[in-house]
This record gives sequence, structure tokens and C-alpha cells, in this order.
Amino acid sequence: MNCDGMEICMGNRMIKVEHISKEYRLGVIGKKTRMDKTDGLLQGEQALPEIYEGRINEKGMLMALSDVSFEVDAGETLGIIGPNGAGKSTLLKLLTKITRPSTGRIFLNGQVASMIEVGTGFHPELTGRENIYLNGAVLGMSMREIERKLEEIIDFSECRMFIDTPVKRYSSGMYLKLGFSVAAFLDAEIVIMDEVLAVGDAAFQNKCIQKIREIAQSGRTILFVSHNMNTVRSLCSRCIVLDQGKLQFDGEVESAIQRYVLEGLAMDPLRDLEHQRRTFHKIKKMAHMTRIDLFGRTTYEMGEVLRFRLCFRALRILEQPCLRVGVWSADGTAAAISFARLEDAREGEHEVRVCVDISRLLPGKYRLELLLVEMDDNGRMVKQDALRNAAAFEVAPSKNRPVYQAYNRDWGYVELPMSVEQG
Amino acid sequence: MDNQGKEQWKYCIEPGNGKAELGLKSLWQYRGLVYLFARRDFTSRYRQTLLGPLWMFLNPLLTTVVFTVVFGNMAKFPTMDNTATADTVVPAFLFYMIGNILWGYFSNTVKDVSKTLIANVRIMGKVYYPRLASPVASALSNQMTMAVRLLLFVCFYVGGVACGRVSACITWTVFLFPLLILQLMLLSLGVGLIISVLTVKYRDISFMIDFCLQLWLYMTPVVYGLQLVPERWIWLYMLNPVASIMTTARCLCFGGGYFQIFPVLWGWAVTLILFLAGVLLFNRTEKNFVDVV
Repeated sequence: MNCDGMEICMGNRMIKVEHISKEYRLGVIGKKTRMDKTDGLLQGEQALPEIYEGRINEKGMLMALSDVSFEVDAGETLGIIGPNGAGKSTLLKLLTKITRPSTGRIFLNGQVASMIEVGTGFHPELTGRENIYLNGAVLGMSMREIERKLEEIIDFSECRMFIDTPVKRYSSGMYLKLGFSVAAFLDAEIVIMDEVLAVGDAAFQNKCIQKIREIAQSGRTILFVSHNMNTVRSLCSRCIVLDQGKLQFDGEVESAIQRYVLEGLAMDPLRDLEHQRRTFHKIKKMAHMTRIDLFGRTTYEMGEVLRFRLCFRALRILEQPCLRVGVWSADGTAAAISFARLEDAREGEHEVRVCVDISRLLPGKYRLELLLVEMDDNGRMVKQDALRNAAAFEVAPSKNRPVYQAYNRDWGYVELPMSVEQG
Repeated sequence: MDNQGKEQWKYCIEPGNGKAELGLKSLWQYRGLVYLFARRDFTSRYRQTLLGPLWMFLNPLLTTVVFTVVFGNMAKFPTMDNTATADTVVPAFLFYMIGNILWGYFSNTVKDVSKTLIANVRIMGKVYYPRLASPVASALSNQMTMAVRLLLFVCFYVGGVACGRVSACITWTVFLFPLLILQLMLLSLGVGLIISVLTVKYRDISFMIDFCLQLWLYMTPVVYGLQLVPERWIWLYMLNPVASIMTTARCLCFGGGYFQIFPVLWGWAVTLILFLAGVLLFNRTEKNFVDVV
């Protein structure tokens, strides 16, 4: 670590987050007015989406973050990952002072600049140039600083031709490019980025990633929030996983990604699904999966098939039910999918034996996503139960296929049958 | 390394219910932003209009003409602040004009400032900058408009003197005019900030603003001279801080009229209290208001 900058040397620590929690009030805020009271009653009957279940504290507040602590050293690029509603954005809002924590403290050793949703704060009537000044100042640059960097910013944005045109006439792509360019030239010691990479076309995106890498290499500290695991993998040196407002993991990137994708799913051959988290919001569903049994195996060699027994309960007669099995790779990509019709099921408990041909799946860790659906008359699927993480298994390389010993992720997930005729 | 005291850290973010602060220091650090915000409000207002900045003049001119006709010629309100001598009679047009410009500044600033939190919630939910920058900037941009309008007033004034319709009785006291403007700015900021804090929780208040300002206008000697107010109620009437600003302003411009030291001191006291209360309340609310709006 380079230690010639005095400020960076101070303990090398840039951020220290100490037991922070953030609570939000549920329902309509400021319910004290007469008119709103009836609203509140109506809303009370609506159930809470399940991702928020178990996060209500004794005061009836929703814990968006509870007791999160971590530290970041100078020069680190820390990835923050987790499913939607895990508290990532809340964490960023606390770090950037947009809103204050309910309890706990955050210590910082440098100025924080955020690149959250670039382009906010542009005024449509002002020209691109005027907006660079305005946006730069909003992000904390001084006038002199902006003047010094103006040309660079304009060049980077590729908008020079339109720089004196009001931004309301910009295309949305140009708008975002200009926004990113201003934020990219911030000088703060700590830079916070939230999904900024979805900017512009592929070429500009590459340019952005290049720029972020440059920023990271200049010894500054970066916090990076993204759902794109490949970008996280290529940019971050460490990763934390948030889930349901709690810090689930803090450490090496690859394990963090697996942790997030498998959600801490142990390789368990027999799993009780009764109380598993469902992926859809709690509306009355007519089926409920209760148990999955992989017959004691979680590791398969390439070329084998996957067999499991699935128990479910039908709350009424299921007409034309269908089982959808999704196979997801541990890096967060959908690898394959298969469908099977089931017989019409009467109300009550049922058990089905399933055999999925995974013989063509390349080595690696996978998880199963299970959906019980009903086909309606138009052939549309109506979800009756859905589990994102029903089970996990691993495919190991086989001695019969030595070519896959050297397998790496770039090869994909599935081997296609191929035949060659010669002569 | 770990047991370093917290004095090692440059910044600390704590739960919002901490100590009250004015936050003027961070506002100064972001002075460039305040300037840019003010310039944005000022310049973007007249973009894509046919007459452009002419509207800055047209607005007060038209209102002044209406006031002169309705209140001066038809209702025949006195344009004198004092029952005493006749030489303090001010030409109705100039009388209404100065009142209009000052009141316009006051009411526009109160309205703009009271809307800042709600209007900027989108950007404030995305980036942090000293929140006070927005209301201060709208006060400043309104001040730029007022400055231009005062220039117009000066033209008419000089014209009036040249035609012999106005007796020029300006003394050194005219240099106190900026003090009046400062007071007007602090007062409108204070009132506006308090309203903005209240509107975060109760939107009802934004419906009341126009009505209340209208009422306030009629309780202030803008469309009539102080002469209209019965002598024995003057003390009560002058408790309104804007009233003393109006009469003092006319004193400075036209010489003579109504000037008492007590209402002026009272006005300043009210102004400072409202301003401080407004800023402190605003800073307190600002920390978590994004969650509430």
C-alpha cells in the first residue's frame, strides 16, 4: 500500500461503520390527519411482501438495516451485493448523509462523493455546459475545479457538438453519458457507485468500466453496488453481502458471490420447504411445496441425471398443473430450464418423483428454482408457488470426459450434442 | 491500529436527533453551488419566452398600473404615511411601485422557499449537499429580479424629478436601503423555512400560503398609506415587521412620512428570531426528511 499521502496513512482506514440500523415507518407517513386514517386502516389489511417479514421491530417499524458493521481500508474497492430490498441503497444513503441512521455511527476519513443515478439534478432548460457546472457543484466540486476539468469532461462525454444545446433536447443516452462524465471526474477520497454502469451503449460502458478501474487504481476507496456479478467480479477486491437488512458475509469476492447466489444454501439433500421464503408477494396461492428430497445426494458426476422427490399441498383442485425447474449457476446466471406436465391434482397432499436430465451440465455449483404453475386456457402460466432456492447441487467433472477437467466458466454451462460426418 | 480514538476520524455521521446547528460553514463551502442555483433559477425562468427578461419589468409595471387605477384613482386610498404636512404626498404611481417591488420580493421568496424541500426531493434523495443552499439560492435569485426592478424604479423616480412631479429629497440615509433589503431577505427566509418544514408533514399548509400572503398584504401598507390606519391602532399595526420595512423604505425614498425607532427595532428582533428558528428547524428536519416526503 502506498503510504506517501499523509491522509491515507492515518491508520489506513477510510470508513468505519459501527452497528448502524435504520428503521422506516410502515404505511402512510404522517397519519395524524383525519383523512389519512381511513387509508391506514385499508392498508393494514394488506399483507407485507414476504421479503420484509420478520423485520418489524417492537415499535412497529421496518428495519431496513439492522446492526451492520464493517470497515473499509484506503484503496479498497468494496462490492456490496444482495437481493432487492436487502438494504443496499439504504446503506448508501446513510454513507452519503442523505438520511441519518436511527442508531449507530459512521466514521469517515475523507470526502464522500456519490455517483448514484447519474444525471439527476440536470436542469432541462440549461445547456450541457451549464449543467456540467451545476452538477459538478451539486456533487461537491468547487467552481475552479470544474473549470479545470471542463474540457476533459466534455471530451469524455462525447457530447461536444451539443454542449451548448439545452439538455432537454438531448437523447436519453447523451443525457446519461454527460451525467457519468461529470461524476467520473470527482476528486473525493471515497467514491460511491450504484449501478452506474448501465450507461450508454456497449462501447461507452466499457469506457466507464475502464474509468472506474483507473479511479480504483489511483488509490481511492470505492464502494460499488451492482447486480451484475461479472462487473463486481472484475472490479472489486472485497465484497459484503446484505440480506434482509443484515450483513451476511464480509470477505473475498468469489465466496461472497456464491454466498449471495446460493443465499447461504447448504448442500442439503433433504429440505423442508414449508417455511422457505417465497419469491412472490403474499397473495393467496393455491399450492404449497412442502419438501424436497434428493435421495441423499448433492454431488453428481457429469453425465448423471438428477432425481428428486417433491411434496406439495394443493389447496384446491389444480387444473393442468405444470412443474417448471430452473437451473441456476452459482455465479447468478440462468443455465437451463425444463418443464413437465403433472396430472390434475385433487385438494390435499401430493408427492411426485422427478427426473431431470442434467447430464449435459458442465461442472460447477448450481441451484434449483421450482415453480408450480397452472396453465390457463390460453396457455398462459399462472404461478401457484415459486421457490428461488429449492435445493443446491454440484456437478463434478467425470473421468469419462477428461476434456472437461480443464473447464472454466467462460465455456458456458451446457454442452451441446454434436456429431460430425466426414468424407 | 484498531484502538485509535475517534478524533482520528475526519467526519462522523450520527443519528439525526443530535445537536442543533446553523450549518452556515458548510453553506460557505458550497457557495459556488448557491451561486449556480441562483443563476439557474434566474436565467431559466425566462428561457423560451417571447419577451424574455422584459417580463421582469412588465410584471411590476402592470401590477403598479392596476394598483394605481384601482386603489389610487377609484378607491382613492391615501398615498401618505403621515397625517401631517402636504409636501409628503407621493405620486401614486411611484408609491405603488416601490411597495409592489418590495412586497413582490417578500411574497415570492416566502413562496419559493416554502416549496424547496418538496420541489427538490428528487435530487435531495440522490445526492447530499447542504440543503440550505436551495432556499438561500431562491432568495438570492429573487433578489436579482428585485435589483433589476429597483433600477426601473430609479428611472421613473429620476424621470419624475426631471418633470418636476417629484421633489427629490434624498439624503445620505438612502444608503441604509440595503439594510432594509437584508431584513426583508432574512424575514422571508425565516418564514419560508418554517413553512417548508411544516409542509413536509402536512401538505395542507401549501394550500394556505397564497391566502395567508394575500391577507398579510392587506395588513401591510402596500396598497394604501399609513394615513388610513387610525392613530390609536398604529402601535398594534406596526407589530407587523413588514409594515415597518415598507414605511421606512418610503421614508428613505421620498423623505418624510412615518418613521419611529421602536417599530424598526421590533421588526429586526422578530426578523432575527424567525430567521434563526427557521434555519434551526430546517436543519433538524433536513436530516431525515427524505424518509418522510
